[in-house]
Amino acid sequence: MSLSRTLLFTLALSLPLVALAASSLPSSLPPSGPKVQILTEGLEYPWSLSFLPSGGFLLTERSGQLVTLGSDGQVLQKLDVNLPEFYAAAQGGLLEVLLADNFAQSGRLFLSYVCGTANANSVCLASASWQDNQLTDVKKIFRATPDRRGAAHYGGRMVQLPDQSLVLTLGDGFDYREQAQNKANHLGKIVRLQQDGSVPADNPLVGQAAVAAEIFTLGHRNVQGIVYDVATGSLWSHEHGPKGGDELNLLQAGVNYGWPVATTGIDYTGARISPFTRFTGMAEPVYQWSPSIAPAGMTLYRGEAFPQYQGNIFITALAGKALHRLVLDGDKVVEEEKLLTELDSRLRDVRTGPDGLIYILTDGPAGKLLRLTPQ
Amino acid sequence: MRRILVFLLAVLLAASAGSMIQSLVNLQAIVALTGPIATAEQLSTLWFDLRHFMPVLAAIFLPIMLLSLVLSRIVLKRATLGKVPAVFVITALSTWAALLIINQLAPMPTLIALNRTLAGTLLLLSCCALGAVFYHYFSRSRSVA
Repeated sequence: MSLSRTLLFTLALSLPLVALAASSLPSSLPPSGPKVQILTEGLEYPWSLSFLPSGGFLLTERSGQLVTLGSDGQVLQKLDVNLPEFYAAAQGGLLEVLLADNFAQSGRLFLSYVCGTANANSVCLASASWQDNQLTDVKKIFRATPDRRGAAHYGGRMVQLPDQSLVLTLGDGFDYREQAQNKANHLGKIVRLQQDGSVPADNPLVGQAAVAAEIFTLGHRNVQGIVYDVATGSLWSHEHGPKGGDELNLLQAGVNYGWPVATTGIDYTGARISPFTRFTGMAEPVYQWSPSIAPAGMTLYRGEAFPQYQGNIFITALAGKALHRLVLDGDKVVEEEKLLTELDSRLRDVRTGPDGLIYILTDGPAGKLLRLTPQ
Repeated sequence: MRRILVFLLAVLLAASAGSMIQSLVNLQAIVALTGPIATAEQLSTLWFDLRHFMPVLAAIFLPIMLLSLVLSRIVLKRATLGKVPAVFVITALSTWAALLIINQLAPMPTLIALNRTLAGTLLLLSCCALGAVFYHYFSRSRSVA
């Protein structure tokens, strides 16, 4: 047998063995990344995404538009919302749109937004009805107090709990960071409200003197991600740190999350904010990022399209320009993967769709709606 | 050459004073939330800020002081004013104007934490103004007796 025939024979014999070996590789090998589809372009600073039960999407643009998209991402309508005392500047404007759990029957939705003026503004929460692609019965049900000057650190994300109460995240107003520890106001807090804006009787500070009874947790800087995991009953949030010290927190009623006393971040000027990175009586973050990634949105994946992502947390990063996938083991993050870095885009929001696919809003004056599908 | 060295020293002193005042004000704000902070922690914070915040403040103060000293010279040539008060007031006003511009341009409402309150702002202006006075005083030619 010639040398070339021997080589060909060996190769032919080895191919099935190579295929067999490849199929028996452990499943712990990293899965191939998701495929990215652009559904919509030309969105003006899109901020929050929700899914209409009839298919299609409802999303907010920070300048004050409520945008209706078809299931293929085509823009069907841009509606100027007429919210009481609406104020848009810098980080402020129309923030989250949250459809009530019974939206399909009631048409009820909730909008968080900035209200007031340049010198006296705050975060407001409105409830409204969505009928025939119009907002009706708009009612302001909550206004965080006190008002602040400047247009930064509003929070504004929302989630509905199984008991129908709403949890709304708020920021410290940037210049008022010490107020995040003051239980008498809403700066730097996460609040829990009934759907009419009233205070649930089982809120953790109800009945205490000189406190804001709406408070659910305190000691936050600027919370722009919150998700409730029905499977575990866990409520997760993340918040922007200053220069460093972005945090992932597991929220529990009445707990103090430390800002600005306990932080690993420093001021943008390089100055130290606090000598403490941890402090007695204040919860430590489950996970943190230094340097900052600027986390801006979050979902906890419980869909079926990506079995390998089951139970993972996905976080969109503005400064980090990536989708961070966190693998959890109970209450601990055991692995982190950065996805979509090739887009080089600031990412604002991430959601799990009813179809189990992952949807993302990019940030900016020409924002996009992206859909992630399995390869 | 001497004037340049004195000017740089003046900027350094003004920024160091500003940095230490901000450290103390920030620490006081944390003390109000936590109770007393150990001296070692306070010194560590002062030193941290001198290494990390002071250079930023010096970079802000340097052009302000330069402009203010030129402006002071022009004003003092045209008006009969006390030199030290004139340099102090002109530099303080320049610093105030510069902080307003910086805060307009910066993404956050107030870049320097000390600038968040009126008292803190006045202290910041005073640091820069005293730096300019220091330069004015020590940069003059002196006759040898």
